[in-house]
Amino acid sequence: MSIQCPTTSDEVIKHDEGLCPKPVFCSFYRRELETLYKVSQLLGRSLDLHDTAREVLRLLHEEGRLLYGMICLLDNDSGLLRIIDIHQDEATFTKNVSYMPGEGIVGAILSERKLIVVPRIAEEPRFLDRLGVYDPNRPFIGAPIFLGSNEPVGVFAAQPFFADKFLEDNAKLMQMIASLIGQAILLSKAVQEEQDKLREERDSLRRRVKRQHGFENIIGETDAMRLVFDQVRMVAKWNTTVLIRGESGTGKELIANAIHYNSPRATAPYLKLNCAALPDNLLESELFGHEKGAFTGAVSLRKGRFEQADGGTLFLDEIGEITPAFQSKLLRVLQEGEFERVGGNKTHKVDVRIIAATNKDLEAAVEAGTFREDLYYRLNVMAINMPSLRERMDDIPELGRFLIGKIGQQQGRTLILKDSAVRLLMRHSWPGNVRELENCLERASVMSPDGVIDRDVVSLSGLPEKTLVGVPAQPLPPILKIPQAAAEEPAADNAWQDETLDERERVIAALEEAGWVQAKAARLLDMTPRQIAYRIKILGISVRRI
Amino acid sequence: MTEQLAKRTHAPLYTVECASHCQLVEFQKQEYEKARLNAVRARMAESEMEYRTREVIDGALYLLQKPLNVMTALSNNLQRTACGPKSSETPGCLPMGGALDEALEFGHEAARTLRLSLPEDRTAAHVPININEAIRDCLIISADRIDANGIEVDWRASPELPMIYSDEITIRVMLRILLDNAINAIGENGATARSVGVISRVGADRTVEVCIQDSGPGIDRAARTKVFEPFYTAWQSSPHHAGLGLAIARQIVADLHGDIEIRESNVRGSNICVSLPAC
Repeated sequence: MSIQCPTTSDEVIKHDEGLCPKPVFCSFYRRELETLYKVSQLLGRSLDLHDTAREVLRLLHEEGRLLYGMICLLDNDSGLLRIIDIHQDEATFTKNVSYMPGEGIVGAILSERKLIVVPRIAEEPRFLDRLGVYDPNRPFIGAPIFLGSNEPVGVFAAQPFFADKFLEDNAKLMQMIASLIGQAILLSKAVQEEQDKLREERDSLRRRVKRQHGFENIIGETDAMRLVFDQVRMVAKWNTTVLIRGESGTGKELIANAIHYNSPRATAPYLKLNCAALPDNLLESELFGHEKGAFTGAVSLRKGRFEQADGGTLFLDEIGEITPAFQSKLLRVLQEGEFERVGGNKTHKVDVRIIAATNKDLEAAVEAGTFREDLYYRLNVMAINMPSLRERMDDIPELGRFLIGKIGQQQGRTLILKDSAVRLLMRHSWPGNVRELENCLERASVMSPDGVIDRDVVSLSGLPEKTLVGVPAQPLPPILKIPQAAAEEPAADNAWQDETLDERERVIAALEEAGWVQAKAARLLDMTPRQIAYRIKILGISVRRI
Repeated sequence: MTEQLAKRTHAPLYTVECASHCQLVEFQKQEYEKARLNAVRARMAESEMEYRTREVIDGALYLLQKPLNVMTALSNNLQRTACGPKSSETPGCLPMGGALDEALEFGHEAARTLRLSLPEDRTAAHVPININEAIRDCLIISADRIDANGIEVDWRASPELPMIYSDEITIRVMLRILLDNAINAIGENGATARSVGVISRVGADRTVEVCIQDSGPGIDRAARTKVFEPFYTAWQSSPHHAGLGLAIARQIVADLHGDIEIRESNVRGSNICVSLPAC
């Protein structure tokens, strides 16, 4: 059997007699439950505290139950209670009000850690009316917000419409909402902390990568390299397409890294792709992405490198290897910044800086018709030419020391590069450029049991003999005239006179100066030919016959 | 700022006998401080001017270089097609009557002239610097502008900051640019309040971090890297900005091996953070 419960809003609902002895209460609790339901829905919607706070307060205000709701949270830095949001009749919130713990009625709720219910706010001595939104004739309820522990972290306050018999129940409702808000804050704080941790880790990794790719890690004191550095510095800060040209192994990728990490986009994504590594159609899906079902095996939507690098830099290595059909697609992205995913018809717009690199003779390719002329000019707006190692032989001593340091770090031991080895290295023509030098030194370091890399070890590691026989690419003297080297090493022209070098090094230096004529070397060292022959024998110097 | 104002209004109390002497010392201190600040201000203005000039000339050089590069490529290709692949060996061959080459020569000459007028790079010696002192100087120097715009500055300085290596003046120039930017932002449409927050604290990985937040309209996500490019400006209310400020700030920070970026903040407005390696 059921009875009808007439409510204040003339709503008609049905209830069991036992559960609903008084119709007015019945409707109140029903609406209370509904409010709670809506609030919990709102709180679950988003993790942004500011958004959800505004929504919840508006809901409570518009329902006409709890007017001018306010949420304050304790600021850990200042120890003040700051207003997160307050419902106001005017849309803007400009007042910058905060409370000390214990200050005013809001502060009192925080310090006393309990619910405060005031039937008429004007009669409350602690009420400061700093906000000027509360009606002095209405009641006021303030509930502390707890985050699991005993210490409240904030206050949730509002004004019920009437000081009627439901005031206590309203207070309970407020307490419930406050604990719901507390839960939401707890969750959003946990997520925030997690995000902060990840961001910190990302920043620290980014800093490390940036340190590794700065100018300090590109060695070069010669004019050719200085020109490159100047160009990189100038180009880096502008958002322009850059073409890096140079033989393989000259460090084109290092330059591309330096450009990205010294540009305003240093904190944005940086992606690399070797165009020669993929066939045409794979390249397209790799760069532009594909829609789900675009081709067999395209089981899901995939974002291409262009989309991933949006706002950042894309490094396209071996740009000379792509086919004319693909060149036209690339041209469109370069010109308009627009492309479509494979199998898609929606045009995407991206802001990506392109750095391209090639070792191919593009002019010849243009002439032969394998490289589009318009793409060639589009790429060529800022070209950086990397000098080959042959053109910067003077950098070899420093490069050698830098690479030896790097290899030593990888192998976990200290390696020492002797001058005799450097002199040998400087006679090679290095068709494979710095990469070849690095490989050569790595081989030599493996061959050296004690970590000392001298002439013998380098020649043992297989520096081709025939290039050695040829005319030295550079005259010998400037070998050690590099400022840093000069501080620790003696000048080369009298290396055999230097007392600090060990005897073996001095004999080798003298022999080299003398063109491996033992009698001449003996004169340089102020020895007899017999003496020097004996030393060559006991020091185990392998004599080069020219 | 508030600390400064407080000092001014509450003059220290002295006992009668030492009053004249103490006041004299105090007065001398104030005069000395005033003179120091004036000197710093003058050197900062000079240094900033130099940075501006360099940035403008660099920009002009770059803008000149772009068409020159394309023309060079064009000229090379013309030469190849007109005179055969071994064009360098046939000296008499000049496509277009050498007009293109002549134009190129003029261009390169102009670039050379411009390069000569670049201000000399006078990088002063780097010394350990307390960044809080630099911030304080910048706030005092900008005090008039801050007051005139009715802006409330909230500076939260971490008291025990490690020193950073820099040159006394450039670091102040950089901070001043960021502060000026924040003040400008508050004058823009869409500013929600009139407050600037300055935070100096210890960052991760042995860095010192300075963040300057303003309650201006904020910077679009898409423009967050663009604003550091030279000649990019997003100011609406005052069109007479060359768009060099943040580019210079970025250059200074990069020279100090630091980072500058625009971060998310809790409040509306932009939040520019600089982190510099501590020494």
